[in-house]
Amino acid sequence: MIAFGLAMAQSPGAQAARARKANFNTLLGAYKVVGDELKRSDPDLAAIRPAAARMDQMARQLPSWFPPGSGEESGADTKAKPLIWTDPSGFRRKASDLQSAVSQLDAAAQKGDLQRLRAAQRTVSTACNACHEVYEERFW
Amino acid sequence: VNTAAGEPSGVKVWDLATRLFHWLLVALVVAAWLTGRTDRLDRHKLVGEAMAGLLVFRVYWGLVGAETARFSRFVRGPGAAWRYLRNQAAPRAGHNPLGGWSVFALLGTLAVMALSGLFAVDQDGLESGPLSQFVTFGFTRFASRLHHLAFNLLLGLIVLHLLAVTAYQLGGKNLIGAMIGGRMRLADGVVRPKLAPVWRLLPGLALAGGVAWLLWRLDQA
Repeated sequence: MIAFGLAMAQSPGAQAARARKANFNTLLGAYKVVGDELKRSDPDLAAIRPAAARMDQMARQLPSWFPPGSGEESGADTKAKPLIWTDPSGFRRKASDLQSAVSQLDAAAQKGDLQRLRAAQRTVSTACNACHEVYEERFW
Repeated sequence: VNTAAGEPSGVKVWDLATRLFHWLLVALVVAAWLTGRTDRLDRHKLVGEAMAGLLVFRVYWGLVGAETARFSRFVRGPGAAWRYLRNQAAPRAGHNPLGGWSVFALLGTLAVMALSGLFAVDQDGLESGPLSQFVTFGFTRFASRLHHLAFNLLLGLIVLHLLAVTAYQLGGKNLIGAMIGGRMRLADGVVRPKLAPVWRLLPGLALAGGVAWLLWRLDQA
């Protein structure tokens, strides 16, 4: 039983699930830098720009974080629903919505347009949420 | 000694401040649950900020407020709880030793929820607690998880609380009426609990209002 569990934990699927979690943490960590600055009355663009660029780069890779076999069947602790792999076109659409939202965010950041940055922030969060609603297991 | 003997309408066991606290807390817990469940996090945060102020008031009242509201009176050791369970404890006004633990656990869990909520960030990254910008991303995730865990604990404690109150109510002790009107009929010889002077509310209200206002301001930036 334990040996089986260990074998599962080291399977390529489980490794991919763990890497995915690390990637999401990096992506969200960068998003927090942007959000924290936008909470201030005088946001620091020098802090926002590299974070937004990093987000843009990562959002493009996001679909590759979900190789087949990296769902719950891998034995990894993941909230990724099987629907991701049974409805790949729907999932890709959500991912591309995020990519275009994040690229708007990055463009506004590089331009230094705070008003558009704040609007893009809402668009990005809406895109995050739209995907989580359908493809992520919730707490309850 | 001033005892409760010969007062048919009962004696004042819960002062107005404690009763208002209780029912406001009920309203805010319901509001927090509804707004959290439906992802209305902008409103959820307002509820949380009010809740933080309310809990600050309760801590203040637990230190210097009416006698039955004070922690020093109702948070008792396991010996007292054991004697109470074996029916060997002299009756007293206010929480019994077991009920005191239940109240302390409820308040403690709500305090954990309020504190963790201040630092939590929702995973879609738009709504964040009023103090989240002062901590690392890792800590915000920890705070979010703690917030959810504490909620499950809170649900359990609320169920226990309701079951216990119902049991006493069926057993002939009108606990619900006492938490509404403040009065309760006590056995002969039970000492009438002391109330607190009204002016003592003022520092507590100022403190609670200050905390809620400060958190709300931090959120408006």
